[in-house]
Amino acid sequence: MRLVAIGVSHHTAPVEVRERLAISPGLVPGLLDDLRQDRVGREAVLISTCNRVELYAVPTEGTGPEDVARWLVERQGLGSRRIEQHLYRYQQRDALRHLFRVASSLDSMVVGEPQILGQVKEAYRVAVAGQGAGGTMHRIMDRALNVAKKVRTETGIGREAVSVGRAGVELARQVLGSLKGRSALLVGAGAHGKLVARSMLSYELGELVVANRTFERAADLARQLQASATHLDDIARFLDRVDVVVTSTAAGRVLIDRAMLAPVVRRRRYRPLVMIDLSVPRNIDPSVNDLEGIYRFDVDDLQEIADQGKQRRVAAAVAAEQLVDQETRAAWKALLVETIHADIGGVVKRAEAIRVAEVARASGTLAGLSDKDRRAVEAMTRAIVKKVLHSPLSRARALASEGERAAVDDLLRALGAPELQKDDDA
Amino acid sequence: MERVFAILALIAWLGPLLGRRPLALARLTRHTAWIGAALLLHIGAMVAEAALAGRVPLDSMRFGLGALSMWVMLGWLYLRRQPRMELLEALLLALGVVLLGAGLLAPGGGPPERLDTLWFPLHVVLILLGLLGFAVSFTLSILFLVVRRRLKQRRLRGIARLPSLETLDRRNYQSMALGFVALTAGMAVGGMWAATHPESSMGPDATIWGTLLLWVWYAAGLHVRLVSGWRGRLAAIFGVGGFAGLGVFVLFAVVVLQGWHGGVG
Repeated sequence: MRLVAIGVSHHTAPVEVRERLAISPGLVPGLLDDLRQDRVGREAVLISTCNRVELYAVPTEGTGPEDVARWLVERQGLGSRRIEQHLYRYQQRDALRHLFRVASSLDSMVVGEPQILGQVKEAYRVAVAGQGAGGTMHRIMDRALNVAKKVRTETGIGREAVSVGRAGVELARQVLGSLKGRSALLVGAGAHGKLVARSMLSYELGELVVANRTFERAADLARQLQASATHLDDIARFLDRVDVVVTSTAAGRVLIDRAMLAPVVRRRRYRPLVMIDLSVPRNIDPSVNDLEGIYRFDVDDLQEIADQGKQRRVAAAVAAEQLVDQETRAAWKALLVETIHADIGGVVKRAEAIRVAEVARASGTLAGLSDKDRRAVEAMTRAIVKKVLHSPLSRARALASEGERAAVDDLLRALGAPELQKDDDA
Repeated sequence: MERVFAILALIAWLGPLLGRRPLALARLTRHTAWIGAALLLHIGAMVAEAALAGRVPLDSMRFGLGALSMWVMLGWLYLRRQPRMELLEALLLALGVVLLGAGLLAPGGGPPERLDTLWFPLHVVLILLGLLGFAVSFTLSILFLVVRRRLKQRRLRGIARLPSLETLDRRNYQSMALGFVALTAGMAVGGMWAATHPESSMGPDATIWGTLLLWVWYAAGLHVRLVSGWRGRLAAIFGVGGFAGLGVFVLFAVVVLQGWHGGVG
C-alpha cells in the first residue's frame, strides 16, 4: 500500500505559481492517463481549485514522491526548479492525513468553508469517470469523504458565520427562519451590501431588488446578481412586501426613518422585517427598531457575529485536528490490512482445498456413516481448519496494520499462500 | 406508595435541571440510564396509583397532572436531540417538574361510577391534551420573548444557538390552536356527560367558569392573530398570560377545591 500527495496551496505558493500548475477539469483525465502511460502512478486523483493543485497518487513500484513531483512539473511544461521549491510532498500516512485535512476544510484559507468538500468529490468523480481511480483510490477517497462529513457534524466547524456576508444571512435567518422564497431589497451598491446580498442568494432567496441613486448602476448590479433594479426614490413601495432590507450607500443621510416605516408596519400586519444598515453614516434611523416587527442591525452587529464565529471555529478546529489524527491512524491501519485480504483469501482457499481432499480420501472409511454423521464430520473439519487458521491470520492482520509487510509475507508463505500480491511498503 | 415513586421521579428529573456544572454531576444526570430511571419512576407512580384504585383513575387530579407532566417530559426527551433547543428544553423540563410537584399535592380520584361511560374519560383526555397544548405554547412564548428581546437589544452573543423567531411563533400558534381545539372538544364532551348524568350534581362550579374564562382568553388570542395579523410578541403574551392564569387556577383547585370540580369531578 503506497500513497503520495504532491501539490501547492495558498500556504506554500503565490497565485502566480498556483495558476501555472492549475489544470482545467476537462484536461484532468488526460493527465491521469499520462500518469499511467508514463508508469509513474497506477491510480490518481487530482484536485485543482483556486487555492490548491494537488495530485494524490498510488505510485508504481520504485517510484517515489520526488519522481511524481518531477513528472508533474515536466508534464505541465514548467521550469522545474522554480516550481518544485513550492511543492509539498507527503507520503503514506502523512499523505492520507493531508487529504483528510483538505477534505475537512482544515487546510482551507477560511477554515470550515464548505466548498472544498464539493471540490474533492468532483475531483474524485472526474478520476473515476476517466478510469484514473481504482480499488485503492476508491477506499482512500471514500474514507476521506466520510471523515470530512464526520468532522463537520461532530465539531460544527462550518456552522458559524465568519464573514460579514454570512453574518447578515444568519441574523436574517434568526428572525425569519429560512430565506427560501423570501424577498429582499438592496439599497446602494456598497461592497458590504453586495456581500450580504450574494450570501442571501446562496440561501435560495426568492427575489432581490437593487435600488440605487443612479439607475444604470442599479441595473448593472442587478444583472450581476440576477435581480431586478429600481430607483432610490422608489424604495418606499417595496417596504410593504420585502422581508429584508440591506442598505449600503454613500448617501451620508437617513433614507428610511420611523415616520416612513410606522404605517408600513401596520400594512404589513406586523410581519417581521429585518433591516441591515451597513452604511456609515447610517441610512436607517436607529429608532425604527422600537417598532413592532422591525429588527434593525448595523455593520458592528455583523462584525460581532463574524468575530464570534471565528473564535468558535478556532475552538472547533482544535477538536477537528484531533479527530482527523484519530481517523488517519484508524484508516491507515484498515487500508494496510485491506491490502492483504486477497492473500488471506488464498491461504483460506488452500486450507479448504486440503480439507476437502482429506475428507474425500477418507470417504471409503466413512462410507458407513449416516447423512447426519457425514454432515457432522464436514462441520467438524471445517471448524478445525477455521480454528487453526484464526490465530496466525489475526497475527498477519495485526502485522499488516503496523506496516510490517515483510513479516506478513513470511507468515503467509509459511501458511502456504499460493502467490502473494505485490505491495511495496516504502 | 405512588407518592414515593412520584417523589423519587421528581428528584430524578431535577438532576438534568441543575445545569452543566459541576461537570461530573451533569454527565451523570444527563446520562441515558439516569433519564431512563426517572421515566420509569414516573411511570411507576402512575401505575401504582392505578393499581391502588383498581382502575385507570382518570378522574384523579393527581393522576391527571402526573400524566400531563409525563407528556411534557416526553416532549423534552424529543427536544434533547434537536439543535438550537437547549433553552426550550430547560423550560419544558422545569414545567414538567412543576406539574409533577403540583400532582403530588393534588387529591386522588372520586367514586368509580363516573367511569361507566366513555364520555368521562374522553372529557379528561381532551382537557389534558388542551392543557398540554397551552403548556407547550407557554414555554415557546417565553422563549420567543427572550429571543426577541435579545435581538431588539442587539445582544447577539450566542444568539445562533437559539431557535429563530419564525420557528417559535409558528410552533406557538400550532400548539395554542391544538390546545384550543382540544379544550373546546373536552368542554363539549364534559357538558354532554353532565347533561346525561343528572345524579352527578354537577353544576356550573368554579372550574367550569375558570375553564370558560380560559377558553375566551385563548379564543381572543387566536382571533387577534387571525384577523388583525398580530403575531410574535402579542401571541407570546397571550401564551404566557393564559398559562399563568391556568397555573393560578390549578393552585386554587388543589388547595381550595380539592379536585378539578370541587371534589365532585
